[in-house]
Amino acid sequence: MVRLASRLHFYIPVLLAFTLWEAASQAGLIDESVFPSLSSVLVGFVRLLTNNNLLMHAGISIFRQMSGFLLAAGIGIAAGILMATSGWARFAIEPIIRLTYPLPKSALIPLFILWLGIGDASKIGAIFLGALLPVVLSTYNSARGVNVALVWSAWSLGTPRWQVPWKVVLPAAMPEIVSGLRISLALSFTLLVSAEFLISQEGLGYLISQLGENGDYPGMFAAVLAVTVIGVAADRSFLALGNRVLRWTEQ
Amino acid sequence: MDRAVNVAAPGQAFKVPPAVFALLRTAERSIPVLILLAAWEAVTRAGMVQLFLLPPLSQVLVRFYADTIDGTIPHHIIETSVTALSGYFLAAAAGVIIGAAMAISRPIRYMVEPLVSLAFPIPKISFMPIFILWFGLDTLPKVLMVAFNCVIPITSATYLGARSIDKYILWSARSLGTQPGRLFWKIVMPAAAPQVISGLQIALPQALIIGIVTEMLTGGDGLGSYMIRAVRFSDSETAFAGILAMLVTGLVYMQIATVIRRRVLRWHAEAAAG
Amino acid sequence: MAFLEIQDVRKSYVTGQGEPFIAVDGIDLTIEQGEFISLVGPSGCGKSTLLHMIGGFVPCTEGAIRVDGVAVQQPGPDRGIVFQHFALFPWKTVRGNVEYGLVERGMPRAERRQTAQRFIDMVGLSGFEDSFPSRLSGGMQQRVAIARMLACEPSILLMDEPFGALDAQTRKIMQEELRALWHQFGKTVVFVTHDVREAVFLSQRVVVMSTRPGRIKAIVETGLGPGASRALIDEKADKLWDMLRDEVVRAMAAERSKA
Repeated sequence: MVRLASRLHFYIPVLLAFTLWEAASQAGLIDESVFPSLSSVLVGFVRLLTNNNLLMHAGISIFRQMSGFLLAAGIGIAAGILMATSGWARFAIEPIIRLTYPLPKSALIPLFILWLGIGDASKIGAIFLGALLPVVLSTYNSARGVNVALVWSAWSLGTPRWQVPWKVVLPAAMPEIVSGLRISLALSFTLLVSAEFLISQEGLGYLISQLGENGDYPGMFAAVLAVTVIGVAADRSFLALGNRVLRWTEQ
Repeated sequence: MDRAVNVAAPGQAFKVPPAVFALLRTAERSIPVLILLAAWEAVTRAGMVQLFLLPPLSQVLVRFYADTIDGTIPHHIIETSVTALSGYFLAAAAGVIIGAAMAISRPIRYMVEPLVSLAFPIPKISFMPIFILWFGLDTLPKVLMVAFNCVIPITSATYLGARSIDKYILWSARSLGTQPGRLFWKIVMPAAAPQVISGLQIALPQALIIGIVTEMLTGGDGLGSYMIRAVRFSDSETAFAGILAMLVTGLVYMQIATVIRRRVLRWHAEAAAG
Repeated sequence: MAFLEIQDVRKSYVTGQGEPFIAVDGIDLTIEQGEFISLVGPSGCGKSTLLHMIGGFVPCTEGAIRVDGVAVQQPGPDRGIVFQHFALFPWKTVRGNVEYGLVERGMPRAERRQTAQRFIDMVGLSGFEDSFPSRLSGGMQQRVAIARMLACEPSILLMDEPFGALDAQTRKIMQEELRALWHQFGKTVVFVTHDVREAVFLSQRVVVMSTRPGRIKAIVETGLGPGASRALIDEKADKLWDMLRDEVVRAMAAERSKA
């Protein structure tokens, strides 16, 4: 009950901002033709649901984002742990990662358009590669920082060396891996929407730019709102999942 | 300095001079990169991939060189940097002020904290069509979009840094005679500096990422449009030259950020660790 | 033949700057079964390094270490270790930590439960089986680490400044409990510490080490029984400290010139 109350409390400023938006529109303080009121945006939202296949576009966008992100997370964590535990992997991979890491990730979007065309594959590819490098690097950095006494304890308790990476290093590095993944999650949505703006025939980014070109601004604002809600929902779900996995960290 | 003396010390046979040691390490680290680049050149020369998908490294370098000499790439780098850095500094100023205000004032914290925490995960680039609608297709919407993206990490880093200060430092300052009204600027903000700078460091690559995306979307000049135009015309050599230019720009930005961090945080333990 | 033989052991390595460094040199030591022996010395004397070599975590550069006539090649459950900062697996509960080695040995679940419970009870942590280490005090965490080690039934206990991170009161109590445990089980213990009094209180022999490179300076029999008086312990400790004082001062001077 108390938790629920404090949750609601937290969102009061957001509600206040929305109220202010609507009030300013009603009072004619902002120009309805370029800044539709909250109420007309909500009407537009319902219209998108019924007429414009909002759910289909959202489904396609989420599919692209999830595919790219999950691939990046799985391969990135494995590569990071491998680099931290094997001298050969570190020798082979680390210089390449360090060299390519500073590349602004948005450069990957046109590259994958060139390689894979305008469909799902190019978005998934750009999201995958863009999210991959930060995951590898944060996993590697945290895995390398794992207390050697933990590894030694496992050895002395009978764990064979080849099992140490996933029995000890992975769980020990998990807190930092989770916070690195959260950043990559946000990046994956940015890359998704950018790629869909640039070239696509489906997805929320495509829907936003199409509505904008048709001058349907309430609809466009509603679609932006939908992207916002999905981004926040994904982040909150990830946090909840992370807290479950990291139950052991504190309290 | 001490090391140089050590090297010359008698009776210690197997000592490698630090400079040689560092050189050997660099050489060792460039091996995988060189292998990768050689493989790129070999695979494309042998005709194992379509040249349209992956032009040979040598041709990309030739194009990069030509476009650098005739001023095209420098021009686009400057264009992108103006957009990205204008937005970035706008965000830095706003973020530090908002973050500090949140740390000082309860009502401001109450109002702003939920907005910052909600704004972190949303793909802010989705607002770009709205920004274009409001501010046109020129530089302004790009700068504002960069600022919108960068202001969030800077604000929360400043706020968290200013809030997490050790109370014993504050007590020490008080007992040494600092007036309560001056504590914030004399003690809290310097103590928060490492976190503020971390926030600034996190935001810098984002400024470049977003700046480049906005150029891809609105056209005009800059690395983003340089590359997307090349892709639209299926000119893959130029596209790869564009990637190279972006990589160089990103590397330079990161280096500058690291140097600034060391300078500002000379007192911090991490600087001493080198 | 002695139970644990350390024969002319030397450890040297190359630092990150490419400079050679000798950690310990010319270590000769034999330890009998059931003996409690302590290694004391200033920071950097290589006492921990020596312990880690007995554990098989780091190889000797020269010389050999043999347990029961068999050369140490790698870590194993026959040599249990406890570290200063506990090194518990923070993602496992108290029970999960104590059961860890038993799982690795393939012990069936029911038996494992029972064994772990016995050791948890022994170190006085009944009721905390399902707590995560982050919820426990330092003293309790170190009890878990000791239980985890003992559950594997090692023949040698290696203790690397195990009470160094604890407050003075907890430390005293842990020392008494460890001594009681040792009297109960009679296992061989190699105990590394900074604290001369702790070494005298616990052990039968104390090895005093010098620094740069780490060498054995003296081996002192304490000759104290379990009922030794406080005065006697203090007297012994003072004598040992006199021996160590010069070494510590020298080590500190070396630190300063390095910085």
